[in-house]
Amino acid sequence: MKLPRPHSATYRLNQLLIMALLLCTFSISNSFANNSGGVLVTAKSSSISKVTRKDIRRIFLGLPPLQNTSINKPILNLSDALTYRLFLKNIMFLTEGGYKRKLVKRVFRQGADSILTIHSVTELSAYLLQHPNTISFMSADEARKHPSLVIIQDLWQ
Amino acid sequence: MGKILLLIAFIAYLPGQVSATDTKVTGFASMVAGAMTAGDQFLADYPNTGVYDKDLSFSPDTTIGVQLKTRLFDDYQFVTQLLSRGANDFETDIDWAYINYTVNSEISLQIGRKRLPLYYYSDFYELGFAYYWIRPPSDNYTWQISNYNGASLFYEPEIGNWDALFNLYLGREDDDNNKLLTFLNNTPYHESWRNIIGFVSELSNDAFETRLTLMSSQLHREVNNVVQSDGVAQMFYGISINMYLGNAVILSEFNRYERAADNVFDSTYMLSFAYRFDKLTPHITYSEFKQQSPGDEYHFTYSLGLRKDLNPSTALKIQFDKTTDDATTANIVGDGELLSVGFDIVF
Repeated sequence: MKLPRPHSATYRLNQLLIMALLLCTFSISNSFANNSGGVLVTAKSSSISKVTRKDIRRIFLGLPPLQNTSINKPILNLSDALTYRLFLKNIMFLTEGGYKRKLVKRVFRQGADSILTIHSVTELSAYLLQHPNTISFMSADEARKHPSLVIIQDLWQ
Repeated sequence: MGKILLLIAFIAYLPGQVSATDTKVTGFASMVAGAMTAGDQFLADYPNTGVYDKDLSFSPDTTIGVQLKTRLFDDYQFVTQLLSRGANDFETDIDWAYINYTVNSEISLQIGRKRLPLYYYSDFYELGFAYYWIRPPSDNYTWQISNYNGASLFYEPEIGNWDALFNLYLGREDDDNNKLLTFLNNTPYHESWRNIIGFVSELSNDAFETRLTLMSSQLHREVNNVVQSDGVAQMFYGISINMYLGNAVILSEFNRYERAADNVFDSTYMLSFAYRFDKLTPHITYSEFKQQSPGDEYHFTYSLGLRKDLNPSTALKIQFDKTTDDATTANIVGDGELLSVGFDIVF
């Protein structure tokens, strides 16, 4: 078999193809990671066992829950843009703009509590541990990396 | 105002019930600079008489607000909003001060001082971050009473995939020296709206939002300490329909004010289009005020603007407004063109 010589056009083309394949593989695996489904999480020490979808939506809109009154507060996990968008789409039924509009109006028009946002999973995990009965969402893969957290339920697949 | 200060003092001294950790502070600010490119005066903020002229000015639209929410007991919270407006020489006013009682998950009762929710943007008029304009269209927002003292009942259920809000409110407002009427007529006005009873309903999902508003009250007005109206029935009603179709935004508002005994009938409306290109939102708006009688107040404005979202809590805005004051006897401030830039933040 005749191998292409280094610095030849065929050699460079092969290198480019390999790089492209690697990039594709990386992005596909990354996208699988992000699309592993979304889950609702809390600290292991929390007493929350199940939350209705209606209550999740109400809580993340700054409204009191109908049933799950033990929930202290929700945290918006902004560490992963895709998971955040999927959460808004599947649970809140809102776009990012629509969600922000509703939140700001509720805070300043009706005196609702503003919802805390956290941009790092490490910080989020630490916060949930320090504040039992606080809930947040993350990808299922990410949740499995944090043994101190417990998955309350699946939110989307 | 004295009663409100007493109320705040009472809450501050509630023994052992309120700790520092029970108080949450949020806030917002709009820093706006503007100058007229044509005309002599531009009335940007009717209720607070924020007026631009040909010189660059930072005060007519600049506002800073701080909201404090204190949990008193399990289901009771005290909410106050302190506002400092450039149009009022940055004096701090207590715009809101009420006790909220959460009756259950869907019903809450608020007692105290609140914004009068006549128009769509009335109760977050100062919150520039919540809309794409520098200010809500001036021709629409021409009311002289912005607040009331009373009670407000909220019912917020979900109906299918719709978020609903029903608000019934009762109250009264006495304004010893009404800024707008005094400014427009150059004579001291005492304005009271008594026996206010109003109802607001809102239905919204991600793409569609509709709001109905109704209010009736009795007007007591003194001009230069002479009673001009006493117990005169007045009525306000309106509808807003907003659509968010993908990146396109359509906002509309139609309102009507009637004081039949004095033969006063005012109509205002607004139509606005915007398109979101990621963080940029260009927009165009038409707004109009028309008085049927006894005067002939008639003015309309075309606005063109651009909003840029800098991050989830700040936005930059630029806007050009061209107002035509077409009345023959009841002119407000005449024709004018205004260029303004603003920076909004919530914290």
